[in-house]
Amino acid sequence: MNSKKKKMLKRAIPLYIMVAPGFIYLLINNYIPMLGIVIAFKNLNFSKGILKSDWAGLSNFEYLFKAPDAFLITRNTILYNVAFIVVNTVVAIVIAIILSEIRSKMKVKIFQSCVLIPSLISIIIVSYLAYAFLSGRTGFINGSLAAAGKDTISFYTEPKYWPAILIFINCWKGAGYSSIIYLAAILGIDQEMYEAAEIDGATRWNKIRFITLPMLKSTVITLTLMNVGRIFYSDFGLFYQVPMNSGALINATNTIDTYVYRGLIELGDISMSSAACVYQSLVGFVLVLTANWVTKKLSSENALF
Amino acid sequence: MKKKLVSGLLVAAMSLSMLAGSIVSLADEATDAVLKDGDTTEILMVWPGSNASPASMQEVEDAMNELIAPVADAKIKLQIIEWGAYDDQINLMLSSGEKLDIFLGTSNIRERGQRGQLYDIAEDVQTYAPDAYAAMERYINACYFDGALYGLPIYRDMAAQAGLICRKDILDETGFTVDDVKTMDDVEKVIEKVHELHPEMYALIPSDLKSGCLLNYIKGQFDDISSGVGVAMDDDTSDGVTVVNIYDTDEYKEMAKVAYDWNQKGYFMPDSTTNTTPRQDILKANNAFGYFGNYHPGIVTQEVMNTGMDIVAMPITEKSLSTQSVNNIEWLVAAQTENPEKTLAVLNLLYSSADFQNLFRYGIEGKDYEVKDAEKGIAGYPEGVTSATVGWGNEMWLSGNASVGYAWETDPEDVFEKYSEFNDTATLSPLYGFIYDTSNVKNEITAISNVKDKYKAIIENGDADPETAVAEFNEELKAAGIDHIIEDVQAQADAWLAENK
Repeated sequence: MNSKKKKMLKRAIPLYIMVAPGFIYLLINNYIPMLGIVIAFKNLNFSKGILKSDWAGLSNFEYLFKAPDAFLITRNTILYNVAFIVVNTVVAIVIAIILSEIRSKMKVKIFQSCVLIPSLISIIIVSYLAYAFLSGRTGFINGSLAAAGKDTISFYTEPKYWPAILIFINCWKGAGYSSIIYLAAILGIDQEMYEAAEIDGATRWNKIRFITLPMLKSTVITLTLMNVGRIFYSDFGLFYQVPMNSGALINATNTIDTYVYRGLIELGDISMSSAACVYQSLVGFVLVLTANWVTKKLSSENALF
Repeated sequence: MKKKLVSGLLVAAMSLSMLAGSIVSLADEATDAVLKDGDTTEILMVWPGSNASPASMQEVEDAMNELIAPVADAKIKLQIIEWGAYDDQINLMLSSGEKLDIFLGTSNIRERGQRGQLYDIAEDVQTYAPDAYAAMERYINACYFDGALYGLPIYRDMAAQAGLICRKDILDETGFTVDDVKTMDDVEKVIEKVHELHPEMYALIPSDLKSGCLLNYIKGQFDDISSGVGVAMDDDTSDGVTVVNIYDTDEYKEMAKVAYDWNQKGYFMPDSTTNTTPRQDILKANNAFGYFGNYHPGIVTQEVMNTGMDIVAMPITEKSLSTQSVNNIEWLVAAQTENPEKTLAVLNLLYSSADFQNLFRYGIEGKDYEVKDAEKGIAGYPEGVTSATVGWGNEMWLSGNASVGYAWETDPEDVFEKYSEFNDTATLSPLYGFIYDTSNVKNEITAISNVKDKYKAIIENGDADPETAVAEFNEELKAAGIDHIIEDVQAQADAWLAENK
């Protein structure tokens, strides 16, 4: 080893030490538990222990595919997530651009806090906020409708309203958080470009259209790719608590996570619930690889890996 | 000669009894040697409560240890887990194998047993917990899962019966009395009158959260073995049993019609199926007349305490005793128990020692409770202590065998006789003692749980046209594989009947 390399290594030691805690955390929290995947393929018996339990082959996965609702829950999960990704990205970018155009620092802080607060509220509280608006007897919307002399709407028994309601609530809750990331990206854009555009006579709209949006492209792609990996998961609270587990809404609100919860709360079978998680992770993994591959084909510099 | 014969007989009788005595003492010595082995074993006892660290915890623990010391070389450690976290915590303790000896099991006993998380006490129970066994003998038969006994059932309202539980002041206004209401038709007359007198009030509210107002209507008519598959209580077993889909019976369809009719007439609280306010709070807020729910001898005391209203209760449906209503709550022994013999000895005290039972249920005498009537065995709060300030207290349904301890002052004097009578006079399910093994039909059960969530509450609340809704419900149940469960239950039940007849 030559002295230059040695010197490099020496210089890097503090950096490695700094990385170590995070790395160890990742190992303990994210990598070691992956061994638990075997539970999904076993008939778990605690007196025998995880490794010595009998193998069950793929039988723990059967219930996910044999169910008459298998298509419905898969469709719901994917369509909702696609809608969430599209709507949240558009709204978050709009919020970020508006925030970036505000010159008063004080006002930016106030607006930023306002859009961020919903993402900090527990989903249980969100479900009751929604209930306060939608309830048939005491809800704000039905109260207003009744006062205006119109027919009231029984939201909790009418599935047709729920795709819109859930997309709205998810956007209200989540868009603020991603808008902060976009805002950071916008603030990182070189101001000289805007100045140059101004000299060329660009309007505010032109600057957004031709500078801000193209510069955001890589951030959008990164965030979307990460969301695609979770497209097979659903926010349990959003789909179970917010519709108040109303039976009439199940066709519109049942997703993989709520289906597994409803089904296994009676059996309490750990292997079967593990199987559901393995299935979700596997599909998520494949989707991330595919999406990244497509990105690479279209614009290779923006792909994750 | 006669004298000789008599004395001879006497000698024979005496030596016989001595022999018997020595056998008993021999057995006692054997158990004593195991229980008093000189090593002090710690026994962790865990159950759910609303307060995880009540004020008298340490004192109760110390007093219990004094009672345990003469029986076994063991020290008890008490742990209460708050309701919301209980199931998760217990699952975690069982899965991780950490210290745990006795705990209150409220769900999935069979599945936990099959997963090897529970200790089979079948062999030891009569040796180390003979008094507990004797006290619960009548019900223990319903607790053997695949031949294994994981714990002891609890002395409580094990029979199931539904009734109208309502406010006395409003019932009086309608002109009906408790004795007038015996059938569903009577209930309808009452709530019709209530609706007329108090249109601003909900005549009926659901007994459980997010469920229909007539959830308990068919209680007592069927023994629901699993996922809505069961047998009729009046099924004649002489030619075997007929396993049916309960949701596809005339009784269920009749209930659906009644629910729809009553809902249309405005007797029910609107939005019942999404309601998240407990019935006690709705009653307390002066918004409701009553509900159709569980009836048992302690229901009036319980609801008066919960609502602060004057409450009366009228039994309506048949009383029934099924395997599940006995074995769904038990004191269980965990698989990781260090010393099952001593653990059983402690359980034995809970089920047979009056002092131990009173400690567990009411706490420290003179501090948390005092004896109001020693002769009748009635206890109550001391001066200045209320349910809000008391340092200890467990409800009867989890106290093991409450009948060996004091009755509470708000209960009727003969409350334990009433409970015994309530359980003993119930109709036994034709499959009483049969425990279904769900391992063949797990896929179907998960699918059916989802279908039930979709339809059950709506139908039982009359929110949908009964004809089409029940038909759709059954169509989806069939698609989810309910026929497979029926076949499986039928086969297992037939085999069980053949063996146990």
